[in-house]
Formats: sequence, C-alpha cells, structure tokens
Amino acid sequence: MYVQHEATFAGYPIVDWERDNAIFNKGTNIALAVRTDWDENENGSGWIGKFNDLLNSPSLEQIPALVIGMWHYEESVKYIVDALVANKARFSNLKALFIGDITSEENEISWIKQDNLSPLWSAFPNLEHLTIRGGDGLELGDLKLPKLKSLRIEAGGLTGEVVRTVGEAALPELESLVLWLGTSGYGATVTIADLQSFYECAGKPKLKYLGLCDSEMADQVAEFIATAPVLQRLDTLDLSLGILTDEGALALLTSPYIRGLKKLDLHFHFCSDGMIKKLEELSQEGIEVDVSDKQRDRDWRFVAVGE
Amino acid sequence: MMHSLVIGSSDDMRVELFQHALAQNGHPPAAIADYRDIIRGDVHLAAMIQPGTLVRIESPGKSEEANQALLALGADEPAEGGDYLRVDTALPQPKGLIAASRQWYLGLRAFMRRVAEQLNESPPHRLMNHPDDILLMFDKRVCHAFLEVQGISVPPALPCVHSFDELEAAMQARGVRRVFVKLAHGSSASGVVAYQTNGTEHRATAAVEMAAEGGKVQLFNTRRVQTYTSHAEIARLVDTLCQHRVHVEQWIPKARMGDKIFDLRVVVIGGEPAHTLARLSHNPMTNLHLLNERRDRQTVIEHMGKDNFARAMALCAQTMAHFPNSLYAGIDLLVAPGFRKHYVIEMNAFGDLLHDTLFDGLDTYALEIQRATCG
Repeated sequence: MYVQHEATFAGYPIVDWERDNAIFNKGTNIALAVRTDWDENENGSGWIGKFNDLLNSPSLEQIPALVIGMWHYEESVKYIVDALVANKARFSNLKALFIGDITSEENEISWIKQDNLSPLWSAFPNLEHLTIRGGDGLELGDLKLPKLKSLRIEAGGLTGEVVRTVGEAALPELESLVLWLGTSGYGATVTIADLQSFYECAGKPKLKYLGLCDSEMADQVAEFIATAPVLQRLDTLDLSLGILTDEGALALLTSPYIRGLKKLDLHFHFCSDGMIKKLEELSQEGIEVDVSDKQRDRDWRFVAVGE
Repeated sequence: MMHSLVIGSSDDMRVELFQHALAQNGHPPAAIADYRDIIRGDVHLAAMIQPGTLVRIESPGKSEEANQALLALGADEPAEGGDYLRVDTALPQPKGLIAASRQWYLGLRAFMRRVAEQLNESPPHRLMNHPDDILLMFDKRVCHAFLEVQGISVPPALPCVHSFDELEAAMQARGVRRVFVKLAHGSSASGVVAYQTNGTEHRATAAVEMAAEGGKVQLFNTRRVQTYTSHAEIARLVDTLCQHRVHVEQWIPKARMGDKIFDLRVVVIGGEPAHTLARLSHNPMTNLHLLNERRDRQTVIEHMGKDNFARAMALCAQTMAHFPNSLYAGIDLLVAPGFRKHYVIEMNAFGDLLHDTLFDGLDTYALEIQRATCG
C-alpha cells in the first residue's frame, strides 16, 4: 500500500528539489517536493537544512504547489510549519500543500508525527488543495480556508477531534473531502458521534466527493451515511479500504439516496460474492460501482492501511 | 574439448544448468565431486583434475545430504567467536526449519579448507571461484567490514550484538530506529528481519514463522511474510536468530518501481557487470523465491536512467575487483529513492542462478564458461 510517492499533486507534476535549480528552467507550474533521504538525514542537515538551501532559489514565488516529504525522525513538523510560515512571502503563489508524502518504506504511516498545523491556514489563506498524511499528533485548530477545493487526510487512525473539526468547518468552496478514519490500534478515536456533521455537511455547499475510508467501522459508517441527506448532493461516495461487510453494503443498497450517485467506490472490502453481484447491478441504474480488491475471509480482518 | 569438474550435488538444478551450458559450447559434461564424498574422504580432487581442468565450486544447494554433512562437519569444529546454537545432525530436521547457520558455516569452512588443500595438490587447473572468497561472502559481518575498508558503498553496520537487548542498546546509542537483522551466514532472506521502532512501538517484518516446541523457539522459513508488533515476540525472534550469529545494518529505504520497492541482483562475470534483474516487493523482503516479481535489465535502465544505472554497474565492478581470484558473484544492490545513491547489501558466492535471463544472448553459466576459457 502507498509504497510510492505520488507522481502528481493537485494536477501538477511532482518534481523533487535536489539542490539543482535547473528544474525551474522547464517551468514553474509544478508541485515542488522537498524530501530528505536516509543519507541527508544521517549525514546532512535534514529537512530544515534542505529547505533553507531551497530558499536561495529563484522562482519560488511562482510555485503553485509544495510537497513536504520525508523529514528526519528527530525533526518536528512544528519546525517545518514555523519555517513555512516564516517564509510565506516567498511562496506567495501557493495554492496546494501536501504535508507528509512519505512511503511506508520510509516510515510507517501511523508513526509519522504530525503537529498543530493551524498556523499554516492564516499564512496561506489561498490554499485550494490540502493533503495531510499522518494522524498521530495532528491538530487542525480553526480550519479556516475559504478557497479550499479539496481536503484529504490519510492516516492509520484519526482522532475524534480532527474528524469533528473537519466536519464542522465551513469550507464554502470544498468539492472533495477524503478522510482515512483508521483503526483504534493505530490511533483512531473517531466514533459515529464524531461524524454527525457529515450527515448534512452543512458548511460545504459545493461538496461532490465524500470519502470516509480505511475504516475499522466501515459497516457503521455505511449505515450512518446511507440515510444522510448529503448523498443527494454528492457525485461520489467513497467507503473504500475499510472493513465493509455485507452488513454495511446492505445498508447502502437500501439507502433512499444511493441512486442519485454517479459513483460508489467500495474497493478493498469484505463483502460476499453474492453481495458484490447485487452492488454491481447498481451500474444498470447508471451508477459506476467499484467493488474490486475483495479481501479473503480470515480469522482476523484488517483495514488496508493501519501501519 | 575442455575437461571440467564441478564440486556440488549431482541432482542439483545449478549443476544441470552448468552441464547444459558446457554441452552448448561443445564441451563434454563435467565430472562431479559430491560434497558428501569429499567430506567422507571417498574422493580426492587431485584424482579428478587434469592439467587445464575448469573447476567450479557450486553451492550444496537444496541437497539435504550435503547440508546435513556440512552441519555434521561443523559440529566438530571449535566454536570460536563464542558459542552458538547447535543441532544434533543425527536427528531429522522438520521441513523449513531455519538451518543452524553458524554450525553450517563452520562446516562449510572446514569443507573449503579441505577443497583448497586438495586443489593445491592437483595439477594446474582453472578455478572459477576461490574457496577463500566463497567463505568471505558467506560471512556477512566480515564481508561487510572488508568492503567498507575498501571504500565500497555499504549501509552502515551496527556493532556485533548477541541479543535483542544488545540490539536495542546499540540502536539507542546511535539514534538508529530502523535496521535489517540478518543471519551472518544465511542466504536468500532466510532469517532476515526488518525491524523498526519509534521508541514506544515496535515492528518486525520477516519471512519467518515462530513456533514453540518443547519450550524452545523454532524458526521456520515461510513464503508468507509475517509482521510482528509485540516487543516480547520480536525479542524472542531476534534472540533466537542471535544464537546463530547476526549481522545488523541500518535500514536504508529503497527506491520504487510502480507501487513496489525494488533492489537489484547484478551478476558480475569476468570483472564486468552482466545479468541484471530488479526484484520487486510490497514488503521489505525482495528475494525472488518469495514469489516476488522481477523486471529485466532494460526496464531497470529506463527506470533509473542511463547515467544512474551506469554508476550502479561501476560500483558492482569496483566491488568485484576486490575479489581477483573469483570469476563471478551475484551482488545485491540497494538503490535509494532518486536512483543516484547505491549500496552493496550482499555478496552471493553462488548468486548466478537467474532463471530465464540472458546477457548478450548467453545465460550466466555460458558467459562464465566463455570468460573462463577465452578470458
């Protein structure tokens, strides 16, 4: 799972900065990635050192997207946040931010140490795309991002507080929202109670894509969302990567709103072959259904991404 | 028409492939000196070698008899460097049990000593790989130290540890959180553990299944890679491996190909990097026998870029240059993300078994024969 770094972010090709400003000659319409490898962390100055060197580059004011990759275990994200905020004028065109483009080969997702990211919102109020990987220690504060179009948080487990913060946030331009709820073993404290504001998604009038993924309680999430009025507005409902069984799938099938969807994404699931057939029949009603990656029954079940 | 001798097991796939390569080149089949026969003293190599014979020392392979014989030989060797877990070679071993690699290695060492002696007493011949080099490559601790001293790029090793406690202490002392723990004398992912900690949590990935048998922990090779998250279990796993001697290196993340990580197996023959494969995996164990996918040399070149690939090959050539008495070896190479930095992670003395892989139209054995005979 997610062993690769992404190739694009927010539609921009990701280009790693390796202390070579020649990359800007090909154009500045890129997602600039700053990540440190084992060697730079061990023998060099870590992420902050690399970032400070980056600040000597021209063209940063034109960069629309920034990807923050692997940092040294001994560096805190807090310093990264501080460094970004202190240099916000250099990234005046920043529209997209990815904090934590880290593969499992570099660090386990549940071991990525996040921090309070809220100073970033006032520093970069024009953000349109925000992706965060890592839920441990994550705090969002007051999520005021009036231009945000997409928000994605991937984690081994999210706290109830983070989920509630996202649910209650007024994000008037938000079209796509994906949260990996996770498992309790990896830090998830979210409950259905924390998902209440997702029933209507009141502060998100433009929402078209809702993903509540990678959930240990996918069945309960499915039962909850099956009667949620927000489904009437959505194009896509995404409950993939979690422990969804026939129970949750049945709730979706019998939902009054499900047939208004354009797409139902349930890939990576634990449904029976019989249920898969029934779900696939939804395509006859014009709904694209993804029920691929069926998981074999085992003594124990697991979400796609815990560690 | 060239006379050849293989020291190996007659029903072994490697020997068959070598015989096939000989035949394809118009040479008669090699005579075979079986490991067991040499150990029992039933053959003397001098009687099997003529002037100019091409002599190949092959792996004991999967032959139970050969490996048991090596274990028995090892049992008689002094346990220098500290005691280790011994097995009673009179008893049959359960299938898949991780071999007592220290005892096996001591047996291999005694065997190679005998082979070297007998070769010395033989007519002049062409030896493909030297017993000393084979032994060096089968001791990961010593091989690593040797390569490091020669300035070859290798992952940093931790000092010798004899228990999980010592490993934890060594990691903490160095601020290291992620390591590969390997049997010092193991091969092909047997007993390899990718271990990481964040201070409070622990995670070990290994192609190893643990079973308790009569109060003792038994380790089995498995194709299903296991993940252990309990500190106590991981301690048991590492403690048991330590009884056979382990070599520990820092875990340097590998580069990706698609949605998998990969490393390279490069067979260097006659000083030149030849057959090359990428081994892909979702988990830290990339060995091919774990049913992992592979990609060919051209794919690797396109993926890494010509310059990066060339420099990786140069590192392999440079590494092999420190083994002037051996014709070939299989080098496992770690490629870091970005493809620019490379590290030698293992030298395989018998690492030339690459199925269905050609270089300049020849398989490894055919190319070795060519290089051994024409230079």
